[in-house]
Amino acid sequence: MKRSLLLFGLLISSSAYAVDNQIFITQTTSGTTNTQIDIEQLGTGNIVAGNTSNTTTVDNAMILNSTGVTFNLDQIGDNNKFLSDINSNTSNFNFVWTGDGNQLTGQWNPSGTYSIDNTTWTNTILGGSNTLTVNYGVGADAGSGQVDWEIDGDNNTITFNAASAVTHTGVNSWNSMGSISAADSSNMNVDWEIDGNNNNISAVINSKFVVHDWEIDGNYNIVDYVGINNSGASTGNGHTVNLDIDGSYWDIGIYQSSTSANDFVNFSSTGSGTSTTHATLCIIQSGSGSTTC
Amino acid sequence: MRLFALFSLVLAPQLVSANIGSVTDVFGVAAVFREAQENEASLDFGIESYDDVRTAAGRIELQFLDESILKLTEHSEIVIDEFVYDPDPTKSKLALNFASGTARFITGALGTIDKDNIKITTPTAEIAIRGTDFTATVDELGRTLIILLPDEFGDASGEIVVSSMMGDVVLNKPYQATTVSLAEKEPSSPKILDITLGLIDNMLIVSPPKEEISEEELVQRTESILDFNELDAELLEDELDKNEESLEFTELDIDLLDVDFLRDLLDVFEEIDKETEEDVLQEEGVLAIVGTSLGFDSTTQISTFMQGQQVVLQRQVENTTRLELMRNTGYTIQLDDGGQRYNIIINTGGDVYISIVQQ
Repeated sequence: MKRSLLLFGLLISSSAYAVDNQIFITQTTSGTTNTQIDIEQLGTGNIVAGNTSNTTTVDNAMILNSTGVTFNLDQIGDNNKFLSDINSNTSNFNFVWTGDGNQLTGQWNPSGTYSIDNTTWTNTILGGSNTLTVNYGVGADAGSGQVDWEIDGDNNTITFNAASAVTHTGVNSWNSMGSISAADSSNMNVDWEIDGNNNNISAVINSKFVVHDWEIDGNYNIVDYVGINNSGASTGNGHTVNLDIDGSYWDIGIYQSSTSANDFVNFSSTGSGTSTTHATLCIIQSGSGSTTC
Repeated sequence: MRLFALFSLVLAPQLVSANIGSVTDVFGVAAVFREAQENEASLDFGIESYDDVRTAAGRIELQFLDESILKLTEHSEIVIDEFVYDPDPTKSKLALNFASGTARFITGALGTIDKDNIKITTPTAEIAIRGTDFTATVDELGRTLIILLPDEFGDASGEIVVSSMMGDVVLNKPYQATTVSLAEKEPSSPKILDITLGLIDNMLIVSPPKEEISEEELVQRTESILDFNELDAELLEDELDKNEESLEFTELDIDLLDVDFLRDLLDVFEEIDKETEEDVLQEEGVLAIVGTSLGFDSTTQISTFMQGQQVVLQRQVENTTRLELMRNTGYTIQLDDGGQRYNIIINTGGDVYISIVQQ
């Protein structure tokens, strides 16, 4: 077992609030196991990224290759940045953003070096106007993964793709399935708990089986979900979306496309719109990639 | 005077020994089909098991051995599936199948058939008799309207149970009625119609009373295939004026010139039933739903049912969509099944728009 953790330009905050703390992580040695990282950044403009980043723009992601990772990150403050390129399996990640205007851009197992199956990711967004973009399990095994999102703030934008990049700007302009290369994210569970308002969530899942649970208590939230390619699922399995909405004025699109005809949408709502400001729900269950509501 | 505008009839010999009843009155065009042969239905014509009795521009009255009476109006058909007459009432049986039109059935006063052994079916309903007098109307879609009629004292003539595959209702009040639109749907909640026995009788009288109606008037009736002219209209207006406020059935709902009065009544009943239910439900802040039915709707393929404070719509054709919605919120739902579109409105609609595409 060899652990290689390089920290460049590490500035650890003291009890006084600091700004522009920058933590660079590069751990690429193969065979690394049981890595543990705990980071708490207080203040504004803090960064966790890669050491090759331009010192001004900080545009390269940290790199972490390991099995059995435990990674806890708390960015407490505004306008923080977390750029990550993580390859691991059988790991636990716990990320918390408390302030506003933070940025997460994550490639979680983009190369397929490691599978990220049996991994739990917990993402808690307590502030507002954060932008989080994660490509998860692209081109690799992401099976039996658990991804939890808790969003308490407002005006957050979250894009979560458990598939390779797709051209997808909304259910009504869904293009085709041809651009998606399968990642095996079978038996995934993704939970979304949204208590804030005006959040915009986009999720694309390319898998055999996935269970998506959405619990939305805030208002004016937008959800755009695409679940595709469950052709390998056995009878009775497939994509399941459970939507439980207590908020109002939501705009939700659910697109399930497969030829196996074993997808499920369970929608429960106590919220609504009004005659002038509607709440809308679009559900498409179709083997065709060109269907619109 | 009776007018007979006959079908092309082929007369068949009567098998008197097998008679289970006979034609006791006939007016206009009626026939008895027996073993693929069409027989003119004349007075005293013997009726046998498996006879198929039909009327065109005419009416007919049959009396069975137990003195049960069956009256058919114009354009009606009934098949006598089984009749077993035994001195022991428990061994006697009567099974009738109302195929279409309107019939009035009065069980026999002799009590020679246990009522449990009387089975009457329509395309969508079964009727178990614990009463004596009722009408059944079956339209071309198989929808059935059952009305329990009063006895000579104005009380309920007993009790009948109307059943479908999904449940049953009991009629035990005079003029209480129910409809069954599909065998796979529950009978509607019983409603009391604001009509009179005279009105029903006028529709079901086989031989118009000669002492009250002149020949000229009778010809007029016959030509219009109606036993329902201006004289009857006046009578009806008087009766209906007594309760103009009734929601169940009003004067305006009656088309006095329509021969299919009872069939119209079926439509009126369903409309009233729907409007009344919606009114009540709206008042209670619960649910009004248009475009799909509670229970399983074979057209939309949606199963709709109540679950606590929610109304649940579930559609499982290949993939499955289940909606658990608030019963007091307005929803506009558009369902697209391979290009076939259905619009469903819950309550007033418009607050929440839901589009479902399943292909």
